Amino acid sequence: MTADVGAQMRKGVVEYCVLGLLAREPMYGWQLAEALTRADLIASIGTLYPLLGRLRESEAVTTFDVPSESGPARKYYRLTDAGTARLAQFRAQWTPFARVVTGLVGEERS
Amino acid sequence: MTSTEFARQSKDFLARLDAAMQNVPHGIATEIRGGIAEELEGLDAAATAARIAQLGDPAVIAREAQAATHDSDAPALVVAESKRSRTDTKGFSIVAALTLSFGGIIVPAIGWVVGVVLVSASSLWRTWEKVVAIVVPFVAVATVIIFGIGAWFPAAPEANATDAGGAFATPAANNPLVPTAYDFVWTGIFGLGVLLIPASGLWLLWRLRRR
Repeated sequence: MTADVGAQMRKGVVEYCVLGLLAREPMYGWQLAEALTRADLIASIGTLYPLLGRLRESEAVTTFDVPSESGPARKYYRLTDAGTARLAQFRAQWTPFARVVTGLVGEERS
Repeated sequence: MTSTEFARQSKDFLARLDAAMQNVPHGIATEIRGGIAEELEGLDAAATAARIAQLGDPAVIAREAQAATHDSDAPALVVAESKRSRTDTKGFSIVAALTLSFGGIIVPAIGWVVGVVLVSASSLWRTWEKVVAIVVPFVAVATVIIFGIGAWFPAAPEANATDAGGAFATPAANNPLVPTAYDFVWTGIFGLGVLLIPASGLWLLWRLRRR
């Protein structure tokens, strides 16, 4: 049950975490996968690309190729204006939401 | 382990990934494969092994991709499913490449233009691939024509100088055995339509493999 709650929460926020990462700088798929896996938000790169596909379809992110000296061109993802607006909307709601939930469920006493 | 062995290891991993992703929607599978391939290529031996270990089992990657794609609880998925375009399909891209290759032969000029529009609309090729397929045949022919004419015609007066009369009484342009600019241009256009443009479309088809 606890694992399910964690999975549901991750599923709800991971899209905005991607937008947050891309707000800092354009990143390629592997970079995003590493950052999200390290944060335990996705289990593998297999989860990332369907998410990136959805973000691209909804025009929150766009892609561009950067030539690489060591291999093929890398596909970078960057935030669009629509993505920036969506992230701003999430930020505005997240902090009060988290405060309300914390206030209701309380914090575990050590 | 040699670099060749690591290249093989990388290739094997991608092959196992392709096999595992057979039930993953085509566009997503292409993105995953492309993202992993661009990361693995150009790495040294140790880094390749580390990346492959980090990626884990291809079957798990495929399973998660499938789950993430079909997860109806994800709110954005509705957008993705409803907006999935016909141009994302491999069938559309094959038709586009074949139209680019042979459309101009069936309906001169217009068929090729239709092919360009279809290829441009497909999402299975990268921008640089589309640009190469559309532009390179014309650049190649233009180069051949310009250099061909430039290289040939300075020699014409010398040919005339050896003429029996010792004068330019019989211009090389009038000799049917000497190609004229007209010949270069028409040979170039023929080569473009019958060889280079079909080849560019077939190259796009080849680039589609495993996408």
